[in-house]
Amino acid sequence: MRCDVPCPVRACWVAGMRTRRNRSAVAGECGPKRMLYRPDGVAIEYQEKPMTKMNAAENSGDRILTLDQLEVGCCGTIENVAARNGCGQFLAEMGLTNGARVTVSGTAPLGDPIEVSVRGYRLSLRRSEASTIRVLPSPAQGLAT
Amino acid sequence: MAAPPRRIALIGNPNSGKTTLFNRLTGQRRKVANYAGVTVDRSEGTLRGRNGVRLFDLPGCYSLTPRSLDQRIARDTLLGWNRDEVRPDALVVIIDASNLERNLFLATQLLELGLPTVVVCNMADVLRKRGDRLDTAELSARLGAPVVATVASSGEGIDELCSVLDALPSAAVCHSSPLGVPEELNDALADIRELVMEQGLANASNATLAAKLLLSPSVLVKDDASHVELSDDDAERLRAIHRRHHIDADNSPLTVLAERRYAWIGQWLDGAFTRAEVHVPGASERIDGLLTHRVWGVAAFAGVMFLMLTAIFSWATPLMDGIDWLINQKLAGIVATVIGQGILSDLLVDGVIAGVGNVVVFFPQICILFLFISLLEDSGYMARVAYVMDGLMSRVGLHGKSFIPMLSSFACAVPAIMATRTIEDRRDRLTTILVAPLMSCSARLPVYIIIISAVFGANPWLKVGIMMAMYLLGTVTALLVALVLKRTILKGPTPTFILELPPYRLPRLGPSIQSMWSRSRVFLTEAGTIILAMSVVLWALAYFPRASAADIEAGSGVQLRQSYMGRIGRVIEPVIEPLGFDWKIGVGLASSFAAREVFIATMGVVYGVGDEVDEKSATLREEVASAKWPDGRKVFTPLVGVSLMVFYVLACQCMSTIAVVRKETGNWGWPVFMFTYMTVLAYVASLVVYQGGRLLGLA
Ligand SMILES: Nc1nc2c(ncn2[C@@H]2O[C@H](COP(=O)(O)OP(=O)(O)OP(=O)(O)O)[C@@H](O)[C@H]2O)c(=O)[nH]1
Ligand SMILES: [Mg+2]
Repeated sequence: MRCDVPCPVRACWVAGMRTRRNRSAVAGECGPKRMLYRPDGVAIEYQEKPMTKMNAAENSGDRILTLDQLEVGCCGTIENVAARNGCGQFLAEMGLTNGARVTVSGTAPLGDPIEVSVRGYRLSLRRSEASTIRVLPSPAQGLAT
Repeated sequence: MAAPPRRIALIGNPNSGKTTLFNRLTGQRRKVANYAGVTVDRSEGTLRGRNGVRLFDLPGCYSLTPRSLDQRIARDTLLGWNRDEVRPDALVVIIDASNLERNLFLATQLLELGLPTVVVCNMADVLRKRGDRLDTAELSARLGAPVVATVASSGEGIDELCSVLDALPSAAVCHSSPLGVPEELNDALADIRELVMEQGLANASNATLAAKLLLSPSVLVKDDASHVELSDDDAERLRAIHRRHHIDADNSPLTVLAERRYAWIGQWLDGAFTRAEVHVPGASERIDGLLTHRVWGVAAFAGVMFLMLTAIFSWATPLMDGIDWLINQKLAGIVATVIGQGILSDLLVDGVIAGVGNVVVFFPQICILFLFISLLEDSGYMARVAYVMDGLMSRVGLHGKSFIPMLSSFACAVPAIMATRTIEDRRDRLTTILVAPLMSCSARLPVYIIIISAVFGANPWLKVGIMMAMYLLGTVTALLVALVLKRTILKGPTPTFILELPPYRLPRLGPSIQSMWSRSRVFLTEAGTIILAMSVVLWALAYFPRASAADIEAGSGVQLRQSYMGRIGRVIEPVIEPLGFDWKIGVGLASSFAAREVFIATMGVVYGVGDEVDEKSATLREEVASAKWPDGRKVFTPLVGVSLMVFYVLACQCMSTIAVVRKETGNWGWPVFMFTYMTVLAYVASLVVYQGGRLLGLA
């Protein structure tokens, strides 16, 4: 099982929480439709869509970062995990679920992998997996934007 | 007729203390260490004082969707998916109390198995020290299963656990399972549940859980560790259900279920568990900062290796000399005087004592090596090495976890090859298996020591430096070979790396010495069996046929030259002469294919039998140092020494390794391949060293 290197695709909730204003843009995109389940169990259709400049801008506007962008010592709350190929399931089982707080506690000498602390224990994972995890940085930690 | 014994399985997250508890409960001494993935196979034992209870220690897992072979063993045992075996009758679920949330995740799945269950909150000492509080009675009420707090390493709470085990009901139970599934999954679950029941993969009590597990698309992937054996029809049926409900590799419903489980755990713990108000950064964090630091981390690793090798060379020397004196002087002397002259005394003195005795001399060194490795394993450093090395290993095409078996290979390749079961991908696992024997194991240590001390004189820095170079050579070669394998025959994507980093613990001396002893005992056993046998064979080859007295008068070394061994040696000689070796070394090399230490035994026998004048004062080291070619040149020049050591670094001279590779890979192809590539590599490298050295004028 492996996760792909981060691909320029991101999940957009068609009906759902975050990017409602994008709906029209999404509807026009091609790509397979999938079912996702929100934590409350409601099924949501979602569609893959290439990352565009606009999305990126919108990201920083919401201050949503991916876990690998978080600096050492910073913490945040997981917004969603878009890992693919079974990796997502494992990350969820290890406690990296929506709403969980993660702190980046260090990086390995070569810069990769990173060490995070989640649910009271330490986990190391590569930046490529970390980049599938979107987090809302905690303002208390004073993240430089 | 007595009732069949109750079968109780110990299961929990990796590194939660299952084996420590198992050892407490059964009195066995299975391997315990502070990193995830120590136990990779099932072990069985009888509960102390209760003959009717069989306990199983299982490999740790994070969930019932296994990601590697060892975890698959655990899942299949728990669900009764092993052929010819029924499910266990009851469960002891071990939870690391210092890491409750994640450990309870597996517990939520295990409780759904419908078996009588005891939940053990182990590491209660860590919890206390942090100042956190866990209300076990409250937790027990919420889980619907008895909860016992224990400290497996000190034995606290074990008695209570035993009495709870006695009182455990024998019938299947239904634990309250508030875990609802999302509505959309209900249909899929019902369909799969039907299939599971029809195929006997589960009974009524655990069918829902089994069905949930089969919601994961990976169970249909043949190469995946979570693969479930199904007939073609059933697999197709399951695939159709998945398709109907839009379940595919990128979208496993178990992810949603995992989130629900964590939400549920949050509710369980709310009120039952209170975290200490202030969290002071513990020693673990500070040590971690140092040991994973860009500069200090590498320096620390090199420092540890240097310290270990210095210890092996200097600290062990007095002990080693003592044993040497005791065996080779005293014992040999006593045997010779008691038995008197004759063939029996020759066999005992020149065969058994010279062979086995000279190997046993290295016992203190082996112990020091094993003690260091045990201390490293128990401190929590192993996982950090994997973490630090991952950057390098990913360039090779593996991940950091592969480095843990490679590091344990410094002790012995056999358990290291078993330990590769924790590596998820089949190709990565094979690659690791094939390169692990290149790491210098304890059997090479005596060979290095004897050569280095015979050839490189008294300078301790030089000796340790050369030794380190040999370890480095093995490691670098292993990485290069892995790189080549991953680019060619075992091509595959670079795997993901997600590894738990355990907290540092001060290694406890008692268990470390125990683990050192259980490993070094193997060394003594080997000396008493294979090396003894080889020594006798080698002695006989060197002793017969006897040269006539007149011949012996005529010149030294005649007996040896005209013996069977000498004749064999002359056949080998042309092959090894380009490497700079004489025929005696050649015989040593050839006999080392039984086990590397036999090289020492061969040298002992060769120089024992070869001594016409019975001056028993010289140690083997001195004899090796003064060995001469017929024309009077020294045999062991520094160049020959290096060439010989390089051969030992790279050659695959270990029957047990070949046997275990056969067992773990399931066919003879891989062990044959491994043997061939390593031996060819050894020969070529040794040739390059010797001939290159000669060209440079080093001979
Ligand atoms: N402080 C403390 N340490 C413990 C306790 N129980 C076990 N340990 C330590 O925890 C580490 C892991 O113990 P193991 O028994 O090897 O754990 P395991 O669950 O068998 O691990 P795997 O076989 O890898 O799944 C070792 O270093 C033990 O010494 C305990 O109650 N308190
Ligand atoms: Mg274990």
